[in-house]
Amino acid sequence: MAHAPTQSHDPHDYSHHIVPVKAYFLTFLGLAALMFLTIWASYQSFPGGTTTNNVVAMAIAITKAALVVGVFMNVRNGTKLIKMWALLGFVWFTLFFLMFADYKMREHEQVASWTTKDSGSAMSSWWNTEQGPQDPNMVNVRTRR
Amino acid sequence: MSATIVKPAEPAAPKAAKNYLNAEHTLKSWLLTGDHKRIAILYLIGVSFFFLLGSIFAGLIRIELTSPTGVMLESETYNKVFTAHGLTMIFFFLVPSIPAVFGNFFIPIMIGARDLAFPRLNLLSWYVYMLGGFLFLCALVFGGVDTGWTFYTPLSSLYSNSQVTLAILGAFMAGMSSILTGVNFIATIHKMRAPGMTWFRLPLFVWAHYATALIMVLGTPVVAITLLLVLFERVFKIGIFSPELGGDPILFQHMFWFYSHPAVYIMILPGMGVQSELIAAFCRKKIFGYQFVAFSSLAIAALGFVVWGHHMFVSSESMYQGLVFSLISFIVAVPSAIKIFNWTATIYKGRVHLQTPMYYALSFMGLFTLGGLTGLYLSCLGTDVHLTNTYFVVAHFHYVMVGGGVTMFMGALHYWWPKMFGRMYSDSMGKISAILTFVGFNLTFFPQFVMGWMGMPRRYHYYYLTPEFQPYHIASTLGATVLGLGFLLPACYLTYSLIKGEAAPPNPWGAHGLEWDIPSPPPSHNFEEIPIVMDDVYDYPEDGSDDDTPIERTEKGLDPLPDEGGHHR
Amino acid sequence: MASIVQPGHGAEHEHSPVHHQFEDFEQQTEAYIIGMWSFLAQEIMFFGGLFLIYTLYRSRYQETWYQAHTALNVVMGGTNTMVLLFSSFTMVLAVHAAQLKDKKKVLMYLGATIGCAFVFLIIKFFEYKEKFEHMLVPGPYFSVEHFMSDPATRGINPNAAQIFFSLYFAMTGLHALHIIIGILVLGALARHWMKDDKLVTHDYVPTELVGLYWHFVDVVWIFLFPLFYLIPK
Repeated sequence: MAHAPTQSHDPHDYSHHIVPVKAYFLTFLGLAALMFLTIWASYQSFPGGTTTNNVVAMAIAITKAALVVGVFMNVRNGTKLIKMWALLGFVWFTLFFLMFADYKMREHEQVASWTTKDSGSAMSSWWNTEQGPQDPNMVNVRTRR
Repeated sequence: MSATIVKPAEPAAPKAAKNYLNAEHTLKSWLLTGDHKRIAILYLIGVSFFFLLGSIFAGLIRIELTSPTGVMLESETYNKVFTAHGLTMIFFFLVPSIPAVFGNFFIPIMIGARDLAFPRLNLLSWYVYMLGGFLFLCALVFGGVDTGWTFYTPLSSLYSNSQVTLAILGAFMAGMSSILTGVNFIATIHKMRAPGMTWFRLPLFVWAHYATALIMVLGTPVVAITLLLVLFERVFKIGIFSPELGGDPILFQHMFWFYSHPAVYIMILPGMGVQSELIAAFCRKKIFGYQFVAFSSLAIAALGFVVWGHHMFVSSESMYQGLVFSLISFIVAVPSAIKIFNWTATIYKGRVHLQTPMYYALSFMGLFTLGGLTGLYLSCLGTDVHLTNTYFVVAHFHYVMVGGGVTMFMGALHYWWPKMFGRMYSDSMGKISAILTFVGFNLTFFPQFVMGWMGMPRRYHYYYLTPEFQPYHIASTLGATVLGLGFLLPACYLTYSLIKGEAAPPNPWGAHGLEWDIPSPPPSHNFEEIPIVMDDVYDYPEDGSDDDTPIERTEKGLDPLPDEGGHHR
Repeated sequence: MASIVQPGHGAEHEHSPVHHQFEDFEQQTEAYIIGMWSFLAQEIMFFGGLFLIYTLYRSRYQETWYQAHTALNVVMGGTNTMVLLFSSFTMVLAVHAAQLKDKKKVLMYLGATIGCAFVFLIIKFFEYKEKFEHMLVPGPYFSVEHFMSDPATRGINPNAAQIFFSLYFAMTGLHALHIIIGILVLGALARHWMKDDKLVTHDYVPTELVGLYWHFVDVVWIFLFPLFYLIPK
């Protein structure tokens, strides 16, 4: 039902655009539904393996965030300036992923003194592989201070 | 547009007139003020104190380095001294300096507003800054920090026994303060411009501060979270950067430099904004390529976020990553170069008035160019392997931060002093200080380029294995003494001017700009009526008809220019 | 705000919702909202740093991440998600009521939001308590004993697991801190409404700004929940 945004009749009231409660309620239902969807999806095995799972999970999360930002935070009725600032933080966040290039490219470096097992960073050091430390002395090591 | 001229022969009413300084005298009216101008003065006191403190640390460093085996400090103390120098100068002086003092004071006036968008937030910024300063001073008093201002892990997170926690809290607060200032500037510049003040009629000072505010807001939180994680590691043993757990200490460096590189643009962009103002005023000419200069500020801010890896070329960052960062680091030099070219083109065939602020402006041109060019040596992967962590780097960043940033702080101080305090200072003393600063600075830091090229490492206390560096260090220390004098003199004559200085007219420099239309010092509410802006920015007449400052006109025996009747700019 | 000394300007603005530095209400509203969004942009970068670190380590230690996350309780996490989503809903209803100047409804919805926030924290407390009991708190007492009983998780890398839990506590802890701050701010807002303070009754924007902060806290959790609790096999 198309409920026109209500105008308050108070002469001192300046809120031009009041969103009807129904829109908020529907959004809340949508968010709740998406939450159950994401729980369900995490237990499924999709073709493409866990990468697909991750993509689906993030897509759902982004949709939920978009609903909160667009409807609850009223950005969809905001000025262009407000929309730009609402988006800018999320866009700027993506700059972080430039760091991935470092970590992914380290594996491809052919440097004489490094073995294939050890590409030079503590993240893949010889005594701490994915399977756990190979050196039993390094299990649960914590510096004593 | 002609300025409101007041005949210097009659001391202007300002002494008796109500202005923001004498509006109320109580301490409470200063400590609870919402007036952006008063907050700017509060910041001026704060940053001046930290500049003095940082200079003392610099002096200690320079004294130590005159001998290959040190002079009076233990090595651990030396580490603490250079760390304190870096932290004080960066977080407590350079980052706030121009934005918090001159940005706060002049952005509302330049855009034709009565105040910033959020005056109480502005005051909160200052309190948070002072709190951060206090925590940092506690860190110093309780023993200092020896990790270097860069807090590299795992030294800072696990092994250092110094006051890392307190120092991090201090830096965190200072960062928070700059975030709040950035938020304020962004809202102000977007929403509080006077009617007719379009984006392209804004003084370039405002453009520069907008770009700076963007960096402050988008970059500072990253160092906040990074330092917080180091804090967690020290306090709660939550080891995210800890190599024993399979964590990556280089990740700390990535996160740290993600902010700290844009931070250096926070430190230089406002200075570039000041430079635009000084060149336009003292060459009586609109800045050449105004739009290029305006957009270059934004370009520097944006590109500055994707070059952080050039601080990590030799700390096991992947070399392919290094290639990308090297390339973008070369590209980020371009907008800065565009500014230098445009300022040069402005000076060319401009009608140059050589007064103290112009001395600082010319000084900036040379020093910043040299600093910027040497940055290219460091951006180049191959040469960086040789030059990294040597005195070449130290010289490079001091050329841009001191030769660029601090010079512009002094230039801004000398340019706007009459407006802010309603007093004139001795121009000849100003010129002497500018020259002393220039000479002292070059004597201090140029030998460091040579030393660095020859291999003298930075952050080293002893260099007795390479005593051939001693003459350079001694020259550098000598220069530092002259430089110190160059900074000390203004402290004296500027303070003296507050007591005995001649009353300043509204526009002692004959410059164009909304700030020069209002009395010196300005009234609390800035403008009697909000101006309606109809003229372009920097609209100096081609024929030089209003070239001379009021003082020059008097000296030449000319009548003052007729007042064209009010605020039409 | 009465104690802040503003540069003197006409008394005619005393009862107006427009503060002295603004010319009209539209300008003020948009300025406040842009101010809040630029603050939220920095919050995004603040939490974003943690998300990046999480993503980097997860891509490196994928198996450990899966194994470690089994110690987290999806039911509690899911409940918390619902609670927070509902609190966002009540918050926006509070803003709506503020626009209509309905004080009673505002207080009711603000109360509901604060209530939800407390529920969230209580559930979180129980979650943390569980972690303490299972010796999963990073530090000198960390142990992967808890994972030894299940053959699927027996091979867990203890060091990487400690990083997982470091990130878990850092991220959910910071988030919980933001919830606590939110409760304080919501409380202060409710107090203003209770005292019929003109700051909030004449102008819905302060309520809206608090709402923006609260929704942001919700958005952070929207990402935290799947990333920590719903790691696929």
